[in-house]
Amino acid sequence: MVKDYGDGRSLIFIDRHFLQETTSGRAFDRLRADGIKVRRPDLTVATIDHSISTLSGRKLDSYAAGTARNVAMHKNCMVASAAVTGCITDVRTLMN
Amino acid sequence: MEKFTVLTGVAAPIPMPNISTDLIAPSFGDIFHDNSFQNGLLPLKVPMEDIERLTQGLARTNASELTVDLEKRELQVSGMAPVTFDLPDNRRLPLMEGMDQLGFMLRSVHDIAAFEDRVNTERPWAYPSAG
Repeated sequence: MVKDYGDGRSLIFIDRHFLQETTSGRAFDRLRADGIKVRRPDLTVATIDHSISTLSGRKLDSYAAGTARNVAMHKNCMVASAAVTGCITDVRTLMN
Repeated sequence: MEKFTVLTGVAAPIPMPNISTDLIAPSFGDIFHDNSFQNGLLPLKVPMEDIERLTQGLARTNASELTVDLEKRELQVSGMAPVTFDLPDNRRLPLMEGMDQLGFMLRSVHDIAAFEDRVNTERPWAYPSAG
């Protein structure tokens, strides 16, 4: 635990963060809005989790409904955070 | 009148054209509930009988607004007794302070840095960049 605020709140340290395309867009937006960088890219891994084709040879845009989020996450990991350790560009890897 | 709109596929709440304020319902999906707080949206769990009472109160007084009093933990409609609700302090206080989870955490950035220094020494094997 990092800190006990004494009012029912406490701050715990999560030492591995797993990002996925459904919710990370909002998180990156929030960071961008305040000019904040990913604090620990060395402890952060990102991969497509939900909206990806299951066919062999798939790419970020193989499943049209997921393309925007997939491409956005990839861009966010590459650009906004600069060095997220494991932005898995090989989309054969899924989180679940 | 339709009382509730079914929201589907909203693991990550985003501003919606028809919903720009707090949500009051008997229950919420867990992920939606947690993520709402992280996005500055209050998803308030209130028993159905209280929602019925509030609805009737609003209709009776022709009021167009309902007040969520976070300090008193009350839902207030003019002309009727307030409806109390439960909301843990870890949810309630950041809203009262006008900040989301990230804003709250950033107030402790020095504590976080000190913690990182300590665990980097105590458990270097857990942190690739510690060595």
